[in-house]
Amino acid sequence: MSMERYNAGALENLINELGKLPGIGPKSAQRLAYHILKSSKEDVSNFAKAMAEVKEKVRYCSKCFNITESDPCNVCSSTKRNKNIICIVEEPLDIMSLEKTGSFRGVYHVLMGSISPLDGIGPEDLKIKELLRRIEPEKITEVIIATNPDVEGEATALFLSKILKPLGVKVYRLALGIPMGASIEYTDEVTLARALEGKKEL
Amino acid sequence: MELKSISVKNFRNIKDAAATGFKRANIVTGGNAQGKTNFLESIYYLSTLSSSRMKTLNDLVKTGETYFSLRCKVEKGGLSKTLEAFYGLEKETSVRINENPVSKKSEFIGELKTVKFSPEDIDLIKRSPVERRRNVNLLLSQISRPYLSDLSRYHQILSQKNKLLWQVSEQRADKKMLYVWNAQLVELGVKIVKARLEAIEALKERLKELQYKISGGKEEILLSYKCSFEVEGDLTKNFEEKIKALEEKEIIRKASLVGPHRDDIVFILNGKDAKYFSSEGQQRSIIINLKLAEYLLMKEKTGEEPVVLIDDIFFDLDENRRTELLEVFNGMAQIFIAGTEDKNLTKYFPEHTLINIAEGTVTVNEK
Ligand SMILES: [Zn+2]
Repeated sequence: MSMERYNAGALENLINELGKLPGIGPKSAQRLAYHILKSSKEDVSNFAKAMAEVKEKVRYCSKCFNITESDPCNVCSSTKRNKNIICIVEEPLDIMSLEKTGSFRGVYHVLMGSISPLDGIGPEDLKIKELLRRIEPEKITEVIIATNPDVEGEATALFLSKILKPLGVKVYRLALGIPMGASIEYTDEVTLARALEGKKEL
Repeated sequence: MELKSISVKNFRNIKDAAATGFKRANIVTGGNAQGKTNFLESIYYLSTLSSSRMKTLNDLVKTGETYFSLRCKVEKGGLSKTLEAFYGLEKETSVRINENPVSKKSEFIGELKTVKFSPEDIDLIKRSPVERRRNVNLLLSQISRPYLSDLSRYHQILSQKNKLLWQVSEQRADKKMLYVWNAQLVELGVKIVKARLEAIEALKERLKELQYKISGGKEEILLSYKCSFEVEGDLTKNFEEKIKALEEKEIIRKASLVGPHRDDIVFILNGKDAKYFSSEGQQRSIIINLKLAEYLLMKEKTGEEPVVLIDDIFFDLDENRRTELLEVFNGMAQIFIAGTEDKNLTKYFPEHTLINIAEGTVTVNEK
């Protein structure tokens, strides 16, 4: 009796864990759990290994906070990039989207979020100090703010432009062509490439 | 614009109904509390995605059910569109146009344009400013797509700013951070105020004319927009300066004190504020005329004649006024009119569809 309960518990436990993933509702969690249950032992252990490895190996770049396996990241250590231009994004995933366009040749800086009093996030909770520490030593001449066009991203952009301008860098806002309220992660490459070309000075 | 058919599921007391065969005039009949108002409200929801005053969206779901869904067919300029709206008690909403999901409310609202004459609006003049702002918002949302998206963005900024004001007052945040919200508040607020000023200006002339006529030249009504900042000159500058002047007060009160969310619409009757100096009859007559003016404005701005929903506004009106109004309604593209057992109605609209509602069951008789 107690054995049976334990077994039901393992499946329930998996459903519960899967249900914590973003975009996965209870129904999908069940479907995924049954799929895992039916998969071969080898597939399942590969899957579990991949998950464990991602946590072990992948970390944040100490310079730009991109996700990376080597520190500094590929972008920061590349010799082909223009190191005097920084593109500021909210999340590491935004870098992936922008990199897919292939039209940006500078480097990045990830803020790890955006200003939002409702979520208790102020400028001091973002990687802004770290950004400011890069400006002089890295001889940054141009900054492109690519925070999301929602109200929080916009507030963050305003804040950044106000503190960056006195430092003598040119500040641009990447906003054109991105639908209001849309996030960079979900914007298609053509639109993003066009937005990069049409960046406006703040 | 013409509503061709509608199906209603779990909406108020209507369990499951499908109605079709609508004409220009559609008379909704049935005893008291049988669902006439609910039927009209279902059409209104497909137009505005809003409930009527004092009701939450959850109130619209039939007791004991977990969702409502509505579907209608609208024809305009020879083109036919299917509109669908779903709402669940857990606040899930989804809307579709021609079977395609639409992600933004603003792309759905106004596909079916309506003007509603209902007893619940009759005392709009006396009520709180919130209700008058809501009235103008519902009108403008149907006329202009950017208006609704600007308005919802404005409210997001407002809640962020109010939270920050609270944090500043508790010394948990620096008041220097207020500008990142104020700058956005001003940009969108000015757009909203401009749209409202323009609408009020257009309504004002029409309302004045209608009221003058109905009162035999005795009543002059002036509609005016009472803005929380100066509207003469540069709106952006005026709005910014007012915010700056009130900054300390805003921190103490932990609330944003300037902007379109604090504005009001005032009715001046013969030089005096109608809120305090007018009879109930005068107020009713002003609101009916305001709604007629809204109809005209919507028609002019969009080139489409809204579907008109009329819910029992005839009680207490004298015979002349009634006759006059029915004549006006008779000239409109399509009306849905509800009234308790009114023989005059069928006489007025010789060709009509009769929609009978009894205990939430809908039956249609073409005549
Ligand atoms: Zn890096």
